Amino acid sequence: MTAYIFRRVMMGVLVIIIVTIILFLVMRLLPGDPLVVYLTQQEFSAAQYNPAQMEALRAKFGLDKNLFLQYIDWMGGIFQGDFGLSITTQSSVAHLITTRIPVTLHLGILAFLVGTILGIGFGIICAVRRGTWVDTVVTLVANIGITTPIFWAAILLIYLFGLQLRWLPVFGYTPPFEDFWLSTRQLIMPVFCMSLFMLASNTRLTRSSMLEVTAQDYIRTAWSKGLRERVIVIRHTIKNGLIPVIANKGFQVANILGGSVLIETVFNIPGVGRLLTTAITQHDYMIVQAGTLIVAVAVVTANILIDITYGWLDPRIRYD
Amino acid sequence: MSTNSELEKQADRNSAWDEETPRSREFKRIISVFFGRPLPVVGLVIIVLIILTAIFAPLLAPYDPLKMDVPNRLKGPTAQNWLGTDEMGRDTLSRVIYGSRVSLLIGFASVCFSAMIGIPMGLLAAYSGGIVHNIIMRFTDGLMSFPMILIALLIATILGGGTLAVIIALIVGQFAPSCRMTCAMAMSVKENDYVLAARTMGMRKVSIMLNEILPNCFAPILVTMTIGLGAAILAEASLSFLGVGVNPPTAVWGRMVNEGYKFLLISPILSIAPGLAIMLVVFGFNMMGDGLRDALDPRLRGVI
Repeated sequence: MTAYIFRRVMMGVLVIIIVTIILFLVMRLLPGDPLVVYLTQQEFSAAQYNPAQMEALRAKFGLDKNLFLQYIDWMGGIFQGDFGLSITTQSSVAHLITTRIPVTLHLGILAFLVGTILGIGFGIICAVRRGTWVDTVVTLVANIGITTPIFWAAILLIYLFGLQLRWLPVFGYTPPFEDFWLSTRQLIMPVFCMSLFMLASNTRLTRSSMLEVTAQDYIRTAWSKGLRERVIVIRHTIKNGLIPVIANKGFQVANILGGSVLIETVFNIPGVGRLLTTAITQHDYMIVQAGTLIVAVAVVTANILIDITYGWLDPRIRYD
Repeated sequence: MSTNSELEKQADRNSAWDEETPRSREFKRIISVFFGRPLPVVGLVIIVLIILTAIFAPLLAPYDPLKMDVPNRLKGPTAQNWLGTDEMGRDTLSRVIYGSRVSLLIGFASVCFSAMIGIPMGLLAAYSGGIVHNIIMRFTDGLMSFPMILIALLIATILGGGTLAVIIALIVGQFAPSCRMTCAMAMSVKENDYVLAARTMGMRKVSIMLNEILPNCFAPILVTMTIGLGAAILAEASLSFLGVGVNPPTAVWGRMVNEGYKFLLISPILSIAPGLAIMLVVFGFNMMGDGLRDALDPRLRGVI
């Protein structure tokens, strides 16, 4: 197990390095001179500078070096916690992002828990009661759930529960330590929307995987031993049926973090996702670069943790 | 008399059986499984209807989707404008009908091109093994660490928006999973005896890949592409909802939802109608994909 964890962590580090290279190349190789973009941001135009001044500015930002050295500079800065300055507000990007990470984490972890617990729960109910009306209805709702655009679901909920019934506040975020009740009421709709896809896909996945396990020989053996249904479902079917569900979690973490971009925009929640969409529309590439990197690193880390859990649950994986 | 005709029928049936090749029998089985359950059929009907809507949009739309009529702005559903009008007095129904063109175009283009990159890459990874396999796998791992919507948003913005930028962004966001899937399938198909037979016969590796392995990966590739179409259309809608994508004033569903959001209290139908259209298309492709998967290869359930 230790060797497996070690290998998995090393591979994760490698993937993070590849992520930084992809991100760096995407930001640099796409059309547009970063310096011209920067000057336009500052409401100067490149034409105001003579070539010598342009060269001086280029040297100041380190853009005169070759791509490899620029990459090393950027990485060196990151290791010292320096993500550069925001182009639009001139404040430290590292500071901007660290103040917003707790918000996105709060929402994301809640959405992850809701999606996992309810999704797996519904899936188990469907599999145990397969063929009944409960199964038909829940499966249909899950099929609709994986296809609903979450930003649209958010707007429908805002219209229904926020504007018509006036049960829940329609936007904003309050830290739970300031006003727990308001914070919870503000979180209900965003967390539900962020978990919607995961909830529905977990229901589908758990159901089909449980049904597959039900057809296995060892389940028949368990029945013929005279075990009670409850024991068979809990000890055998669920335990084996959840393995593919856990294997899919990595994709779902990426999906939740991607969804935060949309949901934080709709509900006006000051998290990393909202920061990124604002920065993207203002072409503030320092924030975009840093924020995207943080999200990708979070996904890789989550994947490592999931793979370790997976290897612990299913010993066959460790010897691949 | 009666026995005679029955015998003839029997003979007919026998000859029909003889003419049937295994391929056509398999084809009939696939058709009967696919059409045997309601959801895939519903999906197919939705998709056919929406493709027809996109093709015949000028005939179906009651008004020009770009024609403004400011005195009639933000009207709710009426006999003249079934789904009301937006903030510039444009007919929502006509805009929803025309919006299907953009969604389908971007969906089909991005899925086809990402398959054209992903499938050969996946085959190459499976075929070469060793270091090439490792490089391709780690590269796709890296790409898949970015949430698809985020990397697509980034690339579409840097490229400056527009239809082509969105298509390129979605290709970058999508080809890695199709590469991984093709590679995994090809690796498992490679273990079959007929591949060994082909190798013993001295077939070249490239032709083994193209003639023996690729056709046997066809089913999962087709299923992933169908479901991928839904995902691409959803991603396109999310991008245009965030204001990145096909430029105004073209009617795009995602942006229509966003524009209607401002008038949620006055005319909720402005946001609801285009969102419902997105949901229907994605539902259609997903259900069709599920149906194809169960018809082509039920063992893939839970894998794709």
